[in-house]
Amino acid sequence: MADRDDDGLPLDAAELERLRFRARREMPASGLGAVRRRRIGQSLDYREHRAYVPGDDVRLIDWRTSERFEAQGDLLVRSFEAEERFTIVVAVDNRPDMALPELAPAAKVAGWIVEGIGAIAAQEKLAVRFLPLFEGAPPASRLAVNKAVIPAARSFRTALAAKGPSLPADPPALRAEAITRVLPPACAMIVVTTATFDDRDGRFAALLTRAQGGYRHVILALLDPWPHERALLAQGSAWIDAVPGAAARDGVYDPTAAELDASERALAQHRAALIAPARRAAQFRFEWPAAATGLTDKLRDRFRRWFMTFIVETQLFARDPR
Amino acid sequence: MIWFSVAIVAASAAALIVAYMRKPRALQRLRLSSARFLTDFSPASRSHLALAPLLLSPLFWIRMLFFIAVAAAMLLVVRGNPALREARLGLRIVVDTTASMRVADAAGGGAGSTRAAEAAALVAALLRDKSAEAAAHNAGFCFRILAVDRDTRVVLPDSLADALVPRQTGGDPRLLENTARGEDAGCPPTHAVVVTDRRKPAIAAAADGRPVLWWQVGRPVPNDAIEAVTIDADPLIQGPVRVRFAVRHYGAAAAPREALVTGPDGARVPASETRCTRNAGEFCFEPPAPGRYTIALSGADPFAGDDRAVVDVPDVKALAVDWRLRDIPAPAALRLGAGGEAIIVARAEDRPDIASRRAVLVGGAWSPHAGGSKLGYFNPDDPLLDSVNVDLLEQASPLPGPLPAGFIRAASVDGRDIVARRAEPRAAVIPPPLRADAPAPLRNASLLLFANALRYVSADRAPPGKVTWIDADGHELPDVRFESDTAEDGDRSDLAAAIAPRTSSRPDDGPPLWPWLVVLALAILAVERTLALPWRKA
Repeated sequence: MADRDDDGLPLDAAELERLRFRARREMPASGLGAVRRRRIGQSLDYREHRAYVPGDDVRLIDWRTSERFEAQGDLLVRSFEAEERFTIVVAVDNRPDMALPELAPAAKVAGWIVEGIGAIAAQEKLAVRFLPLFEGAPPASRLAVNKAVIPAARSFRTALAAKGPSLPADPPALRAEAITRVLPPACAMIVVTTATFDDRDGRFAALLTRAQGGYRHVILALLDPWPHERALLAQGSAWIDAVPGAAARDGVYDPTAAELDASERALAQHRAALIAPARRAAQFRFEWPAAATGLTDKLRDRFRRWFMTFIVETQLFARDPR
Repeated sequence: MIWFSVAIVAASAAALIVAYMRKPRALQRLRLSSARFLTDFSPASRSHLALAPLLLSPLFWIRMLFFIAVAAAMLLVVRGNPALREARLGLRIVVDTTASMRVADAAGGGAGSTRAAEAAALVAALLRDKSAEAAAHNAGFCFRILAVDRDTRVVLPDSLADALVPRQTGGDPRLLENTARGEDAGCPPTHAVVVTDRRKPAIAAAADGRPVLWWQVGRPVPNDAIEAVTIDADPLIQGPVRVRFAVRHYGAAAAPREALVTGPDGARVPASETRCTRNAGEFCFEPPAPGRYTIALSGADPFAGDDRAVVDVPDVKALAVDWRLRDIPAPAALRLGAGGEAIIVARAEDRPDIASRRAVLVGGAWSPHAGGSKLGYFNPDDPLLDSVNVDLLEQASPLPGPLPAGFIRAASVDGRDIVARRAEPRAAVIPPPLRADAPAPLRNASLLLFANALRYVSADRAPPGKVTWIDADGHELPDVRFESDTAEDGDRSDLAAAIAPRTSSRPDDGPPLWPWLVVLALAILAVERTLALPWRKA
């Protein structure tokens, strides 16, 4: 029996293909599907107004013009001269503490997301770009299209999973401006992060705001290892080591359930505050299994089911029926 | 030592239990992505003991069972080793307080000191010496003092002289032995000491093997006693009522003492040694009238409790016997007559009119062949069957014809009643007495039946007399017959040296149990090893 690659994508090629077809069949109710929008032609060049028909993106309604032509009783939507290629941008949290938890690092799950999206996007002939959220490895990939997406995704995942010799004490700087500069006018930016970093200067909030402007939208893939880490803590007799942003604690601890509940609330409040600017973003939370040991199979199985839901519900690959 | 062993066993068991109850946790170094958000945690001071691992582990219970079996075997070995057992001294002191302990023989005491006083002093000294000895050997010490005569009483040590004063009674010496061999949960005895003026009998060992030490006090003194007083009073027998008694002398030869008999009216009644008995020292007298007669010995001796007896002679009303048995002659001693009061002795087949008469009817005939009949109902308490071997009745032929009305069955053979009696007027039906040429057992049984029948029919005419012994003050002394031998000479050596702290022995424990416990432990170990095989865990 061949050895199983525990770090590889939990979905095999056949499952990805089934998932791609399923994603294409699912019709977007809100008209936000990326593929559909690409076909309507969302370029930046205005062509004309036309009457609104059910199914049109409500964001395309020109309210001011519609008010002027109120007597005709129709809402008017704007159409554009030419269509622009729709781009998927995957911005991945690459802070060193993504190497945690040690038994099932968040970087590994982020890599699975990168590789999974890349595989489907390649089949759908979409342009994809993989970007690190923070300074440091991996480097930002070039815009890849068609079959080139797959090696780009794989390279990005590999670099993402590479562990440094140790966790640095200071968190790296956010690449907010660099990402903003390369965001296409029409794109879906998928932010893959544990959302445990600080945004003291508001640059992450600004990035989210920019990424939701115009014909861009944001999808948050929130990675949450807390259930697993809580299970570790609940075993008691824990020596809590230093991580970036948190010094080691003296002594051995045996936290109570109430203390763990309080910690969970603090973490949830921080996350809520951090992603608050992404008001229009779709959020998909992936939680680690609440287990201290035997995590590998549980994590892979849980990711497989989560990723299928993620791909379908983000409607990234939904087709326009017209 | 035992407690030290118990402590080791208990500590080991506790360690095993705690080891299993410990949660399977090891100190873990955690690097958490959520470390920044963790609140202040409690230090690891909570108990890491949980009951669940204990309850859910079959191997624990098997190992615990093994441990218990080994521990039990070890404890049995420890307890079975006399060298390891704790020495202690438990005295069960039984003191005789019967009337003979009043004898003032001045042995071991001053002039006029009684045996009871000597016993009290001896017990007090024994307690004092042995408590000191036990303390010196760091041994446990307890005691129980029991005063025994006709009853048994617990005596406190602070008033020995008063509590051990002899009572106005005799007592069976076997009660002393039985009391000495008794158990006492409050003070388990290691030694039993009997303090008495009697000679040591052959005493069986107590159930727990403890020695029963017999400490005889006093010294032999001669004594004369009135004994064996009986009243010959039978309404059927011709002649006067006679009272027989014996004057027994114990101890060294002394001048014979005269037995003086006084009648109810205070008049002297002559007692003869030769008139009615042939044995020396036995006397009889014929009371001229019913009433209380006193027999007293002249002079005095150290024990006066048996020097005076009172005989209540009953009023015996004579009965004649109307003997109608043609083939059996009447005994010569019977008072014969034919009046209306006379007892009819006749064959049942003759059907005499006994409706209002005392009667003894003999019926049927003995057929002395074995296995001829089958004994049915019989009443062993019936006065007609007193001391009769009822098995012999199976050789009797059934009584011909039905019983007269009003008779109560006493025994039946082959479903027919052969012995019966009537209460009012008294009458009896029995098989006939056999002649002298009949086999001895059958003849004796037939004669006994006949005598029982006559006695029953006439019993209400001669109420039993009463004999009591009294002291000089007229107080009754029951069971004084056990007290008369004050001249018993036994081993009076000091037994205190034989009483020392000892470990309790258990001769009745039987074969040792600990080897079987070791075998059980090994079997449990084999099961545990099998269940704990690594491939079974896979």
